[in-house]
Amino acid sequence: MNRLSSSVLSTARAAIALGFALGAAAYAPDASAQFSYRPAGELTSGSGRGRVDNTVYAPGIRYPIQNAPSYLNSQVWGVGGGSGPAGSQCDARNYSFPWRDNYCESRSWDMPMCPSGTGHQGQDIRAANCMNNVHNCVAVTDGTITNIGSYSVYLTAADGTRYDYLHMGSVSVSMGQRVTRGQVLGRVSNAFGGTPTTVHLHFNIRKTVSGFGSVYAPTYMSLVRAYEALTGSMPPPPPPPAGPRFGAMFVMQSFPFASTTLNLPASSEQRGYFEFRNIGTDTWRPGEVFMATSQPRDRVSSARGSDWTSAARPATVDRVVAPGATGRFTFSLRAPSTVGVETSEYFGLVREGVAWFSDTGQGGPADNVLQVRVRAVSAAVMDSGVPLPPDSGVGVRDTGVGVPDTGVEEDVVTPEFDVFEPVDDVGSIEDSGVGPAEDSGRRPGPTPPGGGGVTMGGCGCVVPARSPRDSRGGAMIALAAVGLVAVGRRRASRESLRSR
Amino acid sequence: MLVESRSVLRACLTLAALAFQSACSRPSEPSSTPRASAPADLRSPAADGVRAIAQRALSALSVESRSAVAASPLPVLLFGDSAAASASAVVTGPAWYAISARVGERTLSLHVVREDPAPNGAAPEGHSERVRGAPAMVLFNEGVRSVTWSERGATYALEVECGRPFEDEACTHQTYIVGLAESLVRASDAEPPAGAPSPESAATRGGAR
Repeated sequence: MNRLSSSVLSTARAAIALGFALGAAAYAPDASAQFSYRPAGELTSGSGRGRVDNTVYAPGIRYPIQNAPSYLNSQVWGVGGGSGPAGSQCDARNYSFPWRDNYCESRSWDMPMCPSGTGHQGQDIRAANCMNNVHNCVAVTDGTITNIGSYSVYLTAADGTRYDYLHMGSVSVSMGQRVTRGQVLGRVSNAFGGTPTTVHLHFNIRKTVSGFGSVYAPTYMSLVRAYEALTGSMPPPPPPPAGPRFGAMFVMQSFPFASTTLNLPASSEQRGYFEFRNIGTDTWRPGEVFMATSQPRDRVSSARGSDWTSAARPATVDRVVAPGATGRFTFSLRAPSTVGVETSEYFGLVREGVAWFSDTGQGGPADNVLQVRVRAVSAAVMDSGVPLPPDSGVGVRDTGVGVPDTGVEEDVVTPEFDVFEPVDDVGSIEDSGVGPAEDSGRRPGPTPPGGGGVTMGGCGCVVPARSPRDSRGGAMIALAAVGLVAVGRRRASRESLRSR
Repeated sequence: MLVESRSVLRACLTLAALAFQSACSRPSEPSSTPRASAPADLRSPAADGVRAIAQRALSALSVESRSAVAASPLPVLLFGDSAAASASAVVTGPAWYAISARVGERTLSLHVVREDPAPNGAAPEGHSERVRGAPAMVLFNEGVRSVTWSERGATYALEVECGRPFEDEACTHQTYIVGLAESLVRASDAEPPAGAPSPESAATRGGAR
């Protein structure tokens, strides 16, 4: 009987192990899937308030897991986590792009760098799949092993920055050992003292941050850069300089053009965006290239929304934008607090610490081209159907341009904003007759108010003025287009499901 | 027989599922446990004679660790607790030094870098505690309890990692780590062991400000 039980137990154990292995294999992600990531500070919905910080606190590190693919996301709020959707930790949704930051995810643990004063203090990383004690963790830099705990390994670099690997299994280094970048330190496991956790690597960067002392610094953007380097997903190096390093051509905007006032209830905000094509030779990166207030530059804005990076920086670019590619800057504008008051905002683009796009020799746009006007109106006016879409009222198009596909249908078919784009015959900034750079010799006059004839829009584009009726017609067409896109995608989705 | 095998198999699968579920839904916070008080030999070493404790701590180190103390670019603090002192391994780099000691199920770690003082001399944000007479910050991260403060031109991060992080009071409460910090002794207070480099000269060389 005992022997039988033992035999059955062995068989069961083998079956479980096999099932787990098969399960992991079944969930094995497509290694060729396109790497993408959500911005720093954007946590899983409902998991707390992240820190919007694009600083690369550990530039040039190697990615801490040996092989791609690998996924940054929440353990607790992921599938199978304590606060996430029910299911297995091996669920494919946990092993997919885009990545998500989980620094400052809700915890009661003190952390002064988190907006709430408490939060998770590193980044959770999954390897290619949920197999325990299989995927190698490697040294992110040359250094010395300075601590090995019951589930941790600390690696200290020459400059004193410490890299912590938690939930480590099969540790293959010893205290005091010198290691080289890429050397295997151990494996991704579920070790967590006596109680196992999900299979993942918790990665910390412990270093002195000015104003905070020795803290667990945000890791997200350092890991993004490291993963890009590991996978070769870095954009190709720019071609030999044939033009300005920094230049942007207007593509579209969701805010009304300057010819039309954006009417909002007093003190309320509206979120929108500008999109530009990179016509320079340098790649734009989040945390490096920003929209900025201009006229004069670095002015503290009176229309600053709550999501601005700083008082003079509405937003950074949303992704890595190679020359020729398009990037988006998303931010909110706030209406004045007094009804009837209007504020006018000018914007430019800047590579922080290097150059303004409007500097001499760069590709523009000029400082006085990108403009939005915001007027505070009473709620009653808003309820009566105002504001209307801007009277540049041209078609609405699918907003999915270059936006990582989240796999959620609603995210794709439901535009976050009303989207407007210039009419087809609108050319580049140069075509519009507006000089590409502030100091290029062309100095366009101030933007005229909206009205008849040809209007200089807030984007520097020539926009024919249209009557409000035309605008309504455009809006109706736009709504119909969105509806058609939605219906089409749902139908395609249903057919896709049926064919599985 | 077949029924019995199936029931055993089902039990195994249930246990596996429970274990799996447990692994996926760990609590984010430790349960309440009694507060730990600092062990007797972790209390402030003043009464016992700082020099004697520092000498004992230094003597307990291996030759390699004593050499590392001598080579440290920053003022060296050592564990005053005898068990921790004898388990300590010291390593240094060009701009830092670190000590690690495994004491039972606990792993103690001290990581020291040059201080980056705030321009206006204010205490760093979040430093609401006081340790060794300086503003300090206690953190808790993935079961690891740590305290950080600055003294003599260096910033210290002292940590304890527990074998049972959600049960061991050394990790569930800050009393232990704060007491451990208070019990640290300066290597420069020790008479150098015969034949060893002087920690006094080492600790004040280079990094001390």
